Amino acid sequence: MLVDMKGVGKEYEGVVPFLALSEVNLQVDKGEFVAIVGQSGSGKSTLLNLIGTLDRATTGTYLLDGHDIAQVSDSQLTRLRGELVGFVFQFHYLLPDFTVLENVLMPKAATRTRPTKEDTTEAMRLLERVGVAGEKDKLATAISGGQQQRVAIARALMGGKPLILADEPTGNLDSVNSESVFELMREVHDELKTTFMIVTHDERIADQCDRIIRITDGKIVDDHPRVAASPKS
Amino acid sequence: MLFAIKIGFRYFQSGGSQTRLTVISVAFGVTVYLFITSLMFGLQNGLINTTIGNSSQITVEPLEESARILPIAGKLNLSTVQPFNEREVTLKGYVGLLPRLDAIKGVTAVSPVASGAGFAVRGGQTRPITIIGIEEDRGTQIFDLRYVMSSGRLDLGGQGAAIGIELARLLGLKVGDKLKVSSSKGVDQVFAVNGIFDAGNINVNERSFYVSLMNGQRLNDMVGAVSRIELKVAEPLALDDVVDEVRGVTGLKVQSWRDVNKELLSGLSAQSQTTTIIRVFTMILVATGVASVLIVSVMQRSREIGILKSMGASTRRLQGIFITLGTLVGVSGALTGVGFGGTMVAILASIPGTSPLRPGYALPIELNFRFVFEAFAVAAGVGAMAAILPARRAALMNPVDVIRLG
Repeated sequence: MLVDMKGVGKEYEGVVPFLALSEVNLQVDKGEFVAIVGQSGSGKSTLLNLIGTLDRATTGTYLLDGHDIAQVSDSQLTRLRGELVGFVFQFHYLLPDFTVLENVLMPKAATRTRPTKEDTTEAMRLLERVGVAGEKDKLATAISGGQQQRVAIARALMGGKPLILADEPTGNLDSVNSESVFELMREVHDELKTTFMIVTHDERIADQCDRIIRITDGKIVDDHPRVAASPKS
Repeated sequence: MLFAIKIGFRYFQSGGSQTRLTVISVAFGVTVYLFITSLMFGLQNGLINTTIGNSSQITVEPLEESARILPIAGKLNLSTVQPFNEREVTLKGYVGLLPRLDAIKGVTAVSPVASGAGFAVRGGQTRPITIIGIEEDRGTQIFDLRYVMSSGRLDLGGQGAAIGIELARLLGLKVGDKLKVSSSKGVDQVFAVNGIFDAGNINVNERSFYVSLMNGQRLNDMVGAVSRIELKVAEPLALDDVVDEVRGVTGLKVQSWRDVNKELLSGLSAQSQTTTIIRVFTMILVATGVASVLIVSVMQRSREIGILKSMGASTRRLQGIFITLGTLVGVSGALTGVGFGGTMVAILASIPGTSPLRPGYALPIELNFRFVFEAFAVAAGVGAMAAILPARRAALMNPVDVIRLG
């Protein structure tokens, strides 16, 4: 079990405390391709942040690949996140002062002294896989939005992370790029058996995932596998 | 840490006009720091040289004699002790002391002096003088009369004397003339004026009458003795250890220039404090400049910081990025400032002129490489330290907030 949440809740402190998530029970196995859908403010991004250990739950227990997140220190959590989780955001957030290749290598550089030759080989393989190897020496700002999101996917995959969390990965792309980025994630999943959890409010994207989790008002109200394969357009 | 240095360096390169302006402001801070420090150093040196450069910095004198009260058994003694005002004490064993004083580390010159009051008489004119008997070789190491001769030369051999330009004017003397000197001990002697000097001080020019040590001893009735021994030291501002050693070696009364120039010391001390205040404020300006640009940089790059955190970059590494950036801004500004400020100070220090505090030059400003190094090190260090707060701010950012909200 890669993600194992039992009774997880998240309450934000403030003048008026806000309960963003409550009583979430969620289990995700390695190799799943999951969509998390819901209206804006429903708590889906909060759930993704808890899964990705960017934030900690206020109630319940969460085991990530067997590690009890409540029991590990901040520095251990940072290291664990670097090893297990890759993120793809709505905006690519590539580092603009670095080249495409350097951006893909960044997760290695961030957790080690210096990327190795093998790391560079892996980064190049991933860039080829996402179709932007030819742009490797360009600055991240010098390529198109679709290409930037592909680079962000390559960066998330760097290091063979078992879990990729994507928060509205196609939200900032036109329909053509949106479709091709989603297809890319699907292909990577099929090839590498990487677990993908994609937050989206686009029902068409969700319908192409293997499992759909629906959140409303901070609670999982529906969690079911894709009933019938939607025909690809 | 290579990661932090690499990213910090890249941020520095891509900082644009904002970073360039900060580097320039650091450079100006360093220039001001260097200029003020060099000017104050030059002023201080000038004042010290003018005041004590041509005089004794440590003076060894005989212990003062005092009357002792005989105890009266069983009775309270209410006697008042009067000092021996009229008794003049001399240093009798001075010859043995000279090599021992010469050997003290930090002492650069030792000169025995036999001095006393007297009158210079010529024709119908009589002027009060101070008869100063010196060994020519040793005395010129304390005050080099040869460099202030306005006519004639320094030759105290035989009946030779060197007199001040004012005394020469008052008595109508010129080089080669003779005059009679009567000491307060009742000894008369005729001297030939071999040199007339201008010491730049009207009292010295009017009163000082230099003769050989032997003639000084004879006139002042102290054959085989001297009135005092004058010393010069390598570090006039830090002579306490030397004073202690001289006191230990001689067991006599030892006074330093500090004891007799308390006003100058207080002036120098006030000047030093002012310099320190200006330097501290200059560096605070440098620090706030660097800190402000880094805070802006942290704000601008908050999303990138969030992404790096999500990738597993540790707090230390994230802090390292901004400390590298701050250090680079500090070092670049310091290098530019040291280059610009150093050149400016060097040019100002080389302008010829007639500064009373720095003979031969227009301004009392002196470039010292210690200050250049100090200015560089302080600015670079301040740059790195100014980065600590923004770096902490970056490291404490919540990736969720910054990624979603910016």
